[in-house]
Amino acid sequence: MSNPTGRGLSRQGVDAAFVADEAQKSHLLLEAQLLRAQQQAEAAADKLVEAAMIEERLRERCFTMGLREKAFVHGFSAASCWAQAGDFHHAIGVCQDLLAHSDLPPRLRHRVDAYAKTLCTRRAQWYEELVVHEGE
Amino acid sequence: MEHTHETYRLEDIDQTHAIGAALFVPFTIVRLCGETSAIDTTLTVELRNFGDFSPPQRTLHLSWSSASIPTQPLGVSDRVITEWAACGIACVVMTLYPGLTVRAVAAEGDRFDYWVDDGQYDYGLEVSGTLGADLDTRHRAKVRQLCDNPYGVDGYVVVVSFASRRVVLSFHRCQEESR
Repeated sequence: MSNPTGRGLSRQGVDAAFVADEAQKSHLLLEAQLLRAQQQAEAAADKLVEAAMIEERLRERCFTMGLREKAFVHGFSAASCWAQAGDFHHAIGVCQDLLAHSDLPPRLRHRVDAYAKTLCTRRAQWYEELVVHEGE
Repeated sequence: MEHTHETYRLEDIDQTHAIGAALFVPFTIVRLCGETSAIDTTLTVELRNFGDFSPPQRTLHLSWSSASIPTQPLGVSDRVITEWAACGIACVVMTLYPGLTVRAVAAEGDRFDYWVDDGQYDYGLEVSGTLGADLDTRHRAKVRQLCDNPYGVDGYVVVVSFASRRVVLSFHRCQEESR
């Protein structure tokens, strides 16, 4: 039976090492989700940092292979992983790197821009609360 | 209505998909057999927007080993159990019907849960489970969510009712549906 065909992102040319890295980061993200659901935030953050580093590696390899749309996916995922791990500075930097690409699709540009602005706002709120609590 | 019958061993999702799907197995078993020690069940799967896939209504006989039945509490909320149980079912139906691999966990902000692929192209997959019986409202909401993805990719939605043992698997061309 044939499948419906649709618009997907090309993954032509990815090799076994790339697939292994995709699998590894997915294992880490699932483990992080489970740990977070079990209220183990620190252990979840450790997994997310590992996943973020793999996503950055996958992003670079996609750029090298000419898979630009897929590179943007891994870039946005890296930003999300850094943010969930609590490293807002790194996450915002990854978003800014993405926004610097003139061929970033408009819908994704809008999403990345909004995400980076949210992170900036949350970071400011978090710091304000930290200062208030330390001053009490 | 004509039904076609498939069988599948739940634990096989770990070999078929690339994301470490073995993690879903205990959650799926808990939602499907509750407090009992059942080792199989039957689900009705409805395929939507699958072109020449016929018949669109399928009967899925799902089995698992008694060794896979959790003996300890899973230690997470009921909502998490239901969502991950649905992910286990999604892995089964993505193998059996479109024959796609669940390749990667999507990022928060992607508006779907997983990336699936046919070896050449990546598509989105949004999954949701419910303890209620009203799948259609849930399905509509999940289609809207999938089609709001920032990449403009097409994809699949799987919704599972554990109350009625019913699954809907559908394909969506998001550019068309978001117009």
